[in-house]
Amino acid sequence: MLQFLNVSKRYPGGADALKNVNFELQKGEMAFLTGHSGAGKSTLLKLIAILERSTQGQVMLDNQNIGRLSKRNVPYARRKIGMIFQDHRLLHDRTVFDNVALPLIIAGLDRHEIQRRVRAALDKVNLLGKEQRYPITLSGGEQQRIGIARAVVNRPPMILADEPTGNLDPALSEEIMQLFEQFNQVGVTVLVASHDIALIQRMGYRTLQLSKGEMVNNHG
Amino acid sequence: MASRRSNIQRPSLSFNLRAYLLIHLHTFFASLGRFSRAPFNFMMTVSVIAITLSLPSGLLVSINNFKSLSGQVDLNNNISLFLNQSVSLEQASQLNDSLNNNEKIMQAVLIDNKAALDEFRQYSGFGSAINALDTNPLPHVIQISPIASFNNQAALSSLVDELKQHSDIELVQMDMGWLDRLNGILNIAQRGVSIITILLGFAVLLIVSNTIRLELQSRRDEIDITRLVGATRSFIMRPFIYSGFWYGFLGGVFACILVNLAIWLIDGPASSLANLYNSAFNLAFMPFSHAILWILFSIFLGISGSWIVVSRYLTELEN
Repeated sequence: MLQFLNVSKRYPGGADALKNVNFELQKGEMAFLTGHSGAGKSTLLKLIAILERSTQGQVMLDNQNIGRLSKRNVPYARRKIGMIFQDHRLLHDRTVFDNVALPLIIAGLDRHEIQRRVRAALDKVNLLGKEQRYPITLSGGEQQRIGIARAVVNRPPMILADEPTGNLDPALSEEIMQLFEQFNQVGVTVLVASHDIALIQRMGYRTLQLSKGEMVNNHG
Repeated sequence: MASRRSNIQRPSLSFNLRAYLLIHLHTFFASLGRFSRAPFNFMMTVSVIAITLSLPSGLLVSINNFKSLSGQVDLNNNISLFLNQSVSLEQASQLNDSLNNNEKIMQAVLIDNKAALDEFRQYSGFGSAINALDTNPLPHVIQISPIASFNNQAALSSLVDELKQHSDIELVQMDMGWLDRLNGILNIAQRGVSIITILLGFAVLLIVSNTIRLELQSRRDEIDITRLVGATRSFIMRPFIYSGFWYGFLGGVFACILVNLAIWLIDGPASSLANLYNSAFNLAFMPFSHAILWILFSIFLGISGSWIVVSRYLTELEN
């Protein structure tokens, strides 16, 4: 599903964010990405989301070199990835429903289908009945679950989460991780960046470890 | 390499079209909804655009009114013959008859000095001063219109020379000169309006650009998020283009309303002034076709201003 081949990323000014990174995620696999701040986790995720392009090497998503995609095709490639962020990145002037519906509106689905899928996604994250609330009126854990519902509503083959539990207490973190496991069980490839080592070890999935831009462990 | 393109899941064309219209409809009303939440800011920008555009459109309407005025005054080839003071009304009348028989002259009209003085007394406001005069200072005047073939300068000049020979005629005055000058002035004014239109058009473009730039800044998060969930460039641009459309459309409509309101306010005094000149002149409102053109022009400026700013912004974001 996802493959990094000799990927390096150097930012203008000379800092090497990633050095010769190699790893592969199989379709339907779940893995964690760890490393200290500045180890290159964010850069790695940005390369997958095509927010940055690699300086060297190839990033393959679904057998496609996404580092070489034309600007025109980038949005369509992004629709294959559901992205989740530590700060949720919700639109606070829109209801829960509108937030979750955003990827479907962008994809141009009709109202009926949008309603059906949004409700299904909210059901999965246990937020059914809060469609018309505004994100700000919900708790941190609930807001994160809105973000997750938005990420999966378009049924992407891959989910990418950047420190999804960074602001949550252990019980809520566990809950969020279990959600990811559920998605993984129905065949979605999941990559979670996190530095909650204890939680990662307890979950027992493959762990990719970055240190100073290098992949020091990609087996787990 | 071949798989690169086929891998992209683009929707089919028929699906695309329906979705496209849906998204447009959605954005169309969403942009209006956004304005309704900040009506003051919105109306302020619309007013600035309206006032800016009302200047060139108002000037153009004024020039067109002047043009129609100069067209209405059918003096184009008219010649006024001022007779000597000593010429009696009877003599003047004889002269008038002979001029009417002249094959070069289509029509000659005698304005006797008594009627002219009465008219002058009535409209000039110098009634009492005129009453104080012992004698009528005005001469008899004959106004002649040459036949249609005498519409060139040379032919008219020869006619004027011929008339000047007549002993009863003191002064021959062609009324063409001032009309030519007026038209000349109007042509300059029209050129000036074109220049002002271009300059103020740029001003509207900048006003819209700046407003959209502020809107972009306040919606930066929203743009980032929609990009992350796979929004295309045109999807992101659309609401801003619609904003530009609304600014342009309403700015144009209000500009036309402003101009016509101004005409309506000026029309009263203008027709009383025209009355003084014995003219039934009325100010013309902006023609409907012109209003449509001004609104289209304004929409064009609104959309362009918005497009320039948003596409620049997105190009900076893209890698």
